[in-house]
Amino acid sequence: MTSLFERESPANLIAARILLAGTALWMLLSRPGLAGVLDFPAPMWSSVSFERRLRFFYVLPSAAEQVLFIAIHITLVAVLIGVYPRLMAFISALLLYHFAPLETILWTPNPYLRGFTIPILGLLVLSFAPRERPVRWPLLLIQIFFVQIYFFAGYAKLFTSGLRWLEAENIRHYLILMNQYLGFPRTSLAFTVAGYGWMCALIAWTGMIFDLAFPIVLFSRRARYVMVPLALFFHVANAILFRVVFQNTVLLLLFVNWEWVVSRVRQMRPAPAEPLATGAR
Amino acid sequence: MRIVVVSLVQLAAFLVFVVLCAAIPSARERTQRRRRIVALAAYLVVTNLAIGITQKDAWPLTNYRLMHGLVNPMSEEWRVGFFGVDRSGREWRIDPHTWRAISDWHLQFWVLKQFENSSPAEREEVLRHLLWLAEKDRAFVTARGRLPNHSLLGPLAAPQWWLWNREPRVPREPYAKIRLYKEIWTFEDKLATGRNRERKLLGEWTAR
Repeated sequence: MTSLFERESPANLIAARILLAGTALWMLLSRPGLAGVLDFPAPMWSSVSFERRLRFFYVLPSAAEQVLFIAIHITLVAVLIGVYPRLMAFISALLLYHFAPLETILWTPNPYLRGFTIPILGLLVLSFAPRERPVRWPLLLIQIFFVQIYFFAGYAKLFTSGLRWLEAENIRHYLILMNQYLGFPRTSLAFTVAGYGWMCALIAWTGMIFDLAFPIVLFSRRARYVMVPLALFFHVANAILFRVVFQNTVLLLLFVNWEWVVSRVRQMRPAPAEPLATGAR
Repeated sequence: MRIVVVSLVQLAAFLVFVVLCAAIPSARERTQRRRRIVALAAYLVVTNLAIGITQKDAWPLTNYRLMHGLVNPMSEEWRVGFFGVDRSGREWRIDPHTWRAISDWHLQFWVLKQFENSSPAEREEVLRHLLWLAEKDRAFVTARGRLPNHSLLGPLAAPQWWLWNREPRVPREPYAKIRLYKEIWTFEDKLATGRNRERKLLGEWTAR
């Protein structure tokens, strides 16, 4: 409990703010048509119930939505550069909550792995972080949000499928099915990997152990040296083999000690030249 | 009724989180502030554990499940295929990124769930819209020789969650029709032959 109130480096909190706002802005700029989903033909919206529209406040006219969509870009830039960061983070989080489900709303109101979830939760926490004395709890909560992605992804597999999920044959099926479904030819690397049972078993076990063990980064700084690069490898491998892209990969940098990085950068800078002493000669 | 209650509970879970966050700066003294921070942390831990362990959902507090089931190699798999048809009758698979912010995957689910239950007029409205989007991309590819990015960030834009195989081939002439098929295959069949077992026409619309 005391760790919630320990001192935190201002550099780490600033980095978290920049990473969260930067990720959200990157996603928004990558999805410029997001607000336009509200203008899809009415029959396409027939699957979205009234209470779901209310839950995400889809009640405004199209012009107002477009204004809000522009506004969210501005508020995120303000967070990024530190202009009224708390207020702007709060507004950004609420607007992200409003717009993020549009990517999936025709089928599900849960866009949980599409890049906006952690920025929403993180920006909300940061918007109420204390100004005067930087403490640990805001960053710790954001890090907890992030590690949950891995832990519960592993837990869900065991909860739903039990230990059978770990069988090599299941991973083989996933490798092939995902690539078939997404339209890739049989020459893809995934099909080759699927041909080796030991590789499929290795993917299953290392993936599961990694998922369930990832929360260790909350308790051990040393573990971060192993787990964070491993996570990067994990996401690259997932993109190549299973064709799944994790848009929050950059948020792994939340576990970097930015105070240490800043101090190293300062040390590397050449010392300022001493002013010429008058009358030295 | 159940979906109304579930939606309200999901909304409430988020609003409680916002209120607990907002209560922190207004605390008058240090002890009160600490209590509120502990209450926020406790709420998040308990809620997230409850959601994670029970595998329920209250996005943005969510369970993060992904590829958690077992694949049955004997079961029928499906995909909704969106095709533009040129004047000669040749079909061209439409690029999965054509639907802008809506992912092809979610559009497929929508088609299977809602499209068949829609009236002919509603179907026409949807197909007309999809063909309009597809035609905009076709014209872009014809003019520029590459698929559009739909983003100012160009190649630096965030990819979609599923990395679809892109479909850069388009006819030089505008599409005359759009067709939607349910493509069906079994895992081992497709592995052996590289083909779908069958496809069922779900809808078709001719541009006027």
